Amino acid sequence: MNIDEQLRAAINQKLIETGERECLKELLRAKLTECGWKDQLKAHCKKVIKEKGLEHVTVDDLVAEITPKGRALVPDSVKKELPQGIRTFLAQHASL
Amino acid sequence: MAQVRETSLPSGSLVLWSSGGGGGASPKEKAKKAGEMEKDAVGATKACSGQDAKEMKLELLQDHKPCDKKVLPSSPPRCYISSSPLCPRRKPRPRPQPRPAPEARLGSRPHPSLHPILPLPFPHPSDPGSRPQMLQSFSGGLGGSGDRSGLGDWLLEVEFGRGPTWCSHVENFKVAKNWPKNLRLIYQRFVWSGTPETRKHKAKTCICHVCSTRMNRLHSCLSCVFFGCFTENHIHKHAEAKQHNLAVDLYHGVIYCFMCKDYIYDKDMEWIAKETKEKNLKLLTSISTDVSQQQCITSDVEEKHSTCESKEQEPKFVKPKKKRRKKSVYTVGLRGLINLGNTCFMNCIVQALTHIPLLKDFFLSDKHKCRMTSPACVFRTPHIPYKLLHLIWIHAEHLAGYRQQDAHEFLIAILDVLHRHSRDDNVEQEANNSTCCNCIIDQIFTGGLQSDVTCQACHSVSTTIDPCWDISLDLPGSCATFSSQNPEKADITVSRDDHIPGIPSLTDCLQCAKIKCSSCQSYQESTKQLTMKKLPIVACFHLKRFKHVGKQRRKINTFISFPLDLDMTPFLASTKERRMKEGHPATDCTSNENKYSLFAVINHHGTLESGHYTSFIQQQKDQWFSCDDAIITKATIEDFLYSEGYLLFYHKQGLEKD
Repeated sequence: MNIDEQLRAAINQKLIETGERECLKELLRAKLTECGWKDQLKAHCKKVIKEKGLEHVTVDDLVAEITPKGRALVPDSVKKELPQGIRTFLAQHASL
Repeated sequence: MAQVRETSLPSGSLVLWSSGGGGGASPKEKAKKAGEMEKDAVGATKACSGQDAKEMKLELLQDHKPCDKKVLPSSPPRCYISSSPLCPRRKPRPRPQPRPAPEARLGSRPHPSLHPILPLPFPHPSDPGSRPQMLQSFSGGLGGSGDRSGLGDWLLEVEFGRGPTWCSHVENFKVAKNWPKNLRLIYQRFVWSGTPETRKHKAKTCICHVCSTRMNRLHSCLSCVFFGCFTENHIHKHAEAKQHNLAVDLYHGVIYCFMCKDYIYDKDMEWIAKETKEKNLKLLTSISTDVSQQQCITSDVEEKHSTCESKEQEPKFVKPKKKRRKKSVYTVGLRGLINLGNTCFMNCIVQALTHIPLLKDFFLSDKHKCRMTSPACVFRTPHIPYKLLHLIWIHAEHLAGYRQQDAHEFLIAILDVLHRHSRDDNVEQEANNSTCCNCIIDQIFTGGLQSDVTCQACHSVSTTIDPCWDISLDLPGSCATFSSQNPEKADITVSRDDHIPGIPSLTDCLQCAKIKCSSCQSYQESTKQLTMKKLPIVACFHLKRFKHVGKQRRKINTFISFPLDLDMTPFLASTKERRMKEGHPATDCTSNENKYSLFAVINHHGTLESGHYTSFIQQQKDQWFSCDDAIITKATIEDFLYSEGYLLFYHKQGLEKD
């Protein structure tokens, strides 16, 4: 593992250990719901289900269809705020 | 530090819980309760419009769908009673079974309630009609908008045995001894890790055994200790090799069957998942209040003070969410601000501005139409206002840099910046006509200072009204004419709430305020007394404590007493006119129109060269907090009433919110 991956793993571990990861997840959930991303994606989901037909659609289908769209639809403000939350966390746990 | 852990737990998770159980009570009631909890969770800092609540309710009704894909009537009810060991362990609580009428009575195995917080009244378990009715309401709710009616029909289909949500492989799995215990362990340890120990363990062990990733839809095998990611099919390979057909998604907690190639929703397993999740969230709530407590105690001065404060507040914060409204210390929306290097001047102005209810609501309800940073205080840790600082540096260059700045200067600068950027908010406003501006800043802060100039020759009076955002007042001792009491002024009966014998008061300063004559640049007497044509909603009084005497600059530390309530009637232009016409002061002015109450006090400590700003903010009626950058502590009224006072913010009483 190169240094980047090591760092990433260490940060991730710290985030999980302190429970901060869960908090950030909830924060992200709230923000995405707030900005309408969840509804947009839900609508897209339904569209996909209708296209494929209810009986034949699989979870993998949905995941394949929705993941790129979901990633694209995240608003920039949210994209900036989450890393900021992580930075704040790191600043507080400087011993890492 | 404000403890707002409860509000930062978003409603999303709560909605999931209460929706996760399928039929427990009438969906309307559940939705209403969940809707209320939504509102609680979002908190006072965000205006939760009725639209939001409605959408949440619809979502709630929709979320009922997947959970109703439970085990279907095709399996005989006997199976449940015999194979499930849950029965004897738990105190039976009635729950209607999701089955059509004939089997309902046989299969009414008691099932624990779905949500510990919601006191759901349970419909009679033997009421066969309840289930279809609920379905009706589901499809009715779902059919409410456009394409949803199709899915509502699908729900009905699923309910009556035509959907793929049950599989025989689950039954095979359940044959094993202790399967609920094992499943519960998996959920507690790896899916919803609640305690620090489990989290540590999860952090270490939950990686794909093949590719070491933590993402890519990591699943845990239900039959052995194996973690594999889904996207790369690592868990699939394991399932094939070991014939372990079931795995649980570590992110969502849903169970996948590799033989059926789909996620399945077994009722008993769903129940275990829900139970462990609730336990976990309870743990998280209580733990995080402790964590937040620790975070609020910074390694600064006044550590003891804040420790005492937080200890006093501790029992109140550990109370469960639903009692939040009854708390006597209401700290939602209160948040410290980190000092970024002599930025205390900015921090206290931001604290004052964000506690103006009108301004706060305006920005939080997104009425502002441009991409500016809106100062909204919402979460538990102190906010780092670096974005705001950067924006100020860009738009008010005279304040750029890390030197100490004047808070009043900053106030004017930030109001100006907000004012300039509020162009888009009001379409009718003409760009260059500052007097016509109707932006939120002007609506709140702009007052009209009237000055009448009497021509010495012909005695005609010319009146000018200068818009102003604040009122700067000289202090006694700095102005030579202060002490001479004009007999005219003595007639003004002013309610002297702030009168302390021997100590000059704010009212004294107001009475003797002089307005500079623009033509001759000298301080005129009597004709130029402070007169307000229009009173602003928020009046900011700036006590000029920084004096420039020749080359010397010094700070005047005279204590000026100021009242909690201030009546501006005597300083109104209309009052003056009336007094001049009728010859006596208008004493019977009892309307509340011109009454103001104090809500923020900004103090400067130290000298001109090196000083520090702190503020006192009113959070609610009679609840005041001292804000010293990141340290927020409860303050008594005496604390700030006897503080020096540099900037005093008064809010018109008629518009105040409690």
